[in-house]
Amino acid sequence: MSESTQPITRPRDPASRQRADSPAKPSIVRIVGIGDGIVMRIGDQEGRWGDIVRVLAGHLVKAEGFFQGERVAIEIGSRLLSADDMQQIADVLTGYNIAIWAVRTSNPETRRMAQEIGLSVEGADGNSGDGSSGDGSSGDGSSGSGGPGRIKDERARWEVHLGQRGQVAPSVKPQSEFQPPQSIADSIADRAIDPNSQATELGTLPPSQKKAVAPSPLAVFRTDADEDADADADEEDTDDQSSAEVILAPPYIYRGTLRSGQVFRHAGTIMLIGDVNPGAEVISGGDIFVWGRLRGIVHAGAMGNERSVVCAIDFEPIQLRIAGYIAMSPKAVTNEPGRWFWRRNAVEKPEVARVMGKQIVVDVWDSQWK
Amino acid sequence: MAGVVLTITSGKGGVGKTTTSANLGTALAMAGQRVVMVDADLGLRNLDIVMGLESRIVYTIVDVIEGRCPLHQALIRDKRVDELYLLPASQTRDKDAVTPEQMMAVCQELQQIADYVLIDSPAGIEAGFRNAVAPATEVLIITTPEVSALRDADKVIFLLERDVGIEPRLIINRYNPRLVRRGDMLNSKDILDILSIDLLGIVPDDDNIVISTNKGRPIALEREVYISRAYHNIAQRILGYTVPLLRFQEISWLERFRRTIGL
Repeated sequence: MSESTQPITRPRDPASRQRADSPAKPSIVRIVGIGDGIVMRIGDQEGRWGDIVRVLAGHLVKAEGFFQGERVAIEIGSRLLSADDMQQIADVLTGYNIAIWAVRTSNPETRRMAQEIGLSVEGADGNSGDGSSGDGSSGDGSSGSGGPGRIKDERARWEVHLGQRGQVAPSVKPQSEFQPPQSIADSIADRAIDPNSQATELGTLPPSQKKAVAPSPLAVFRTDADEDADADADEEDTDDQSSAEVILAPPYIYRGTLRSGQVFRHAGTIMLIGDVNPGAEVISGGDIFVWGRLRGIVHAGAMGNERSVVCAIDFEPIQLRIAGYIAMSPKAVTNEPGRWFWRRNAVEKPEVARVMGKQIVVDVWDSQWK
Repeated sequence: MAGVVLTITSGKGGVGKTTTSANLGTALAMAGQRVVMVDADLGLRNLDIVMGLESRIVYTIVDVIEGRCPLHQALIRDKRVDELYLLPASQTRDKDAVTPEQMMAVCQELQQIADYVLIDSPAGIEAGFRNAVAPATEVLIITTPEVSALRDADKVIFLLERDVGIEPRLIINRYNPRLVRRGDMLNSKDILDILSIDLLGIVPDDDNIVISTNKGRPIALEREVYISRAYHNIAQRILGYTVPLLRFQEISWLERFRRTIGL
């Protein structure tokens, strides 16, 4: 979470005050999205099943609308479960109108139990088990768009993070939703098309993918954050070097005020409902929208996207960075006695910052903005 | 019933934690509570000086933790007020001498015998602060209406919310109504805008407070001085009563004239 400040340890103590929301380890149940649907990964370390189901129910309560009508696959690892346990979690999920698509486990007992209840199972090695009849969402293997019972072993493309108050979201690595550009580049090479021409033979290809990425000659200020972000991007998307389009993670909405010392990093656009206090940092691969007062340090387009914007209702950042450009608030430059950073804005209107030409421009929002 | 452990912290140094601890402890004791004040600033102890009890210190909290004396022997009773005790810090050791667990053990013992345990935290966010906050059931943040103090208070509130889970309350110290009227100082509304926590009280900037700390006689002892009412009001609010904020009067033109000519 916070990089430099050590946490305050409260030694566990039976006589200490009970807090209302005792923190359940958020890593017990991880909800990730893969190509075909949603997988709930339940760690197979310690933890009673009842507690896990409760944590899961808590997560579902918080994210009620998100999962409605979805199908999920449950990955249990090597945990041994009884039929009652299976039924318990199935009940919880059907209570939220979520269908269980498959159960993935490497424990043969658990597998048998799941099959008895009527859930389609899949072993850890990817073999599809027999889906018996019943109220499982999938029948035999021949139907359906998603390939019932088969969870492709893919990296998670996104992860739902239902953290607690004050927690910082983990940074989600951006993944490509489309075909990797390398294969497109190969097909271009096959047809021996000049990559610099804007020929529309491959009509579906966005033209930007044909251009090589060139460091902008106008990137005057390369801050440390940019270098780090670029290093990260290079490591992950090794097949993405030729793309000038930055692939972002899905947007993240954070409710609450960011206090001084908090850093909020996300590889997609961030929507903040609350204030950003001076001393807080918001670093995003995409845009940043602050529905409140923006008084901290913001960095939009941290992975190089110069088309990112920063919007806020009360726009007074200490420092504003978009991709490689940096700008300071004009209030910070004046030396008038009696001018404070947190004076009410004379212009009490939402403002938008973006890169135009070679610099960052801040405009008052109006409906003519495009 | 166990008492309340109230930690008084700020982040920034010099905003008035020790002064507030001394005066608040005195005010609570004068309101009938049994109060133990704990100085958690090991190595740079100040609470005993401000309380005027430094000549009576024999044992300190480090002696208690290391087992050289029982707890009741280290407590110093303030004779001016009923039921007010001080557990002093050590001047020769430093913050590494105690761990949060040891602090919690001591404060738990104190909780059994006292109504309020006030812990005077050192400045900063490192080990001393962690020691002071570990046993807390409630936290008070002290700040002055200055940009740097507010920044540090915000950081401390963030740490408390993240790690400890207690919602602190705020005391604004050294508030100068004249500067606020001129627009040269942040007013309380601006401060609460940033910090967004409950306001417990405002203590104005007054010479009497500074003089009294030097004498070792907390201003809350003198009820006839107007300014001590600020601390008594805060004590009443801690006890749960609703007390309106003091009205701060600008100094009169005569007083201003006198100050100008130096009388």
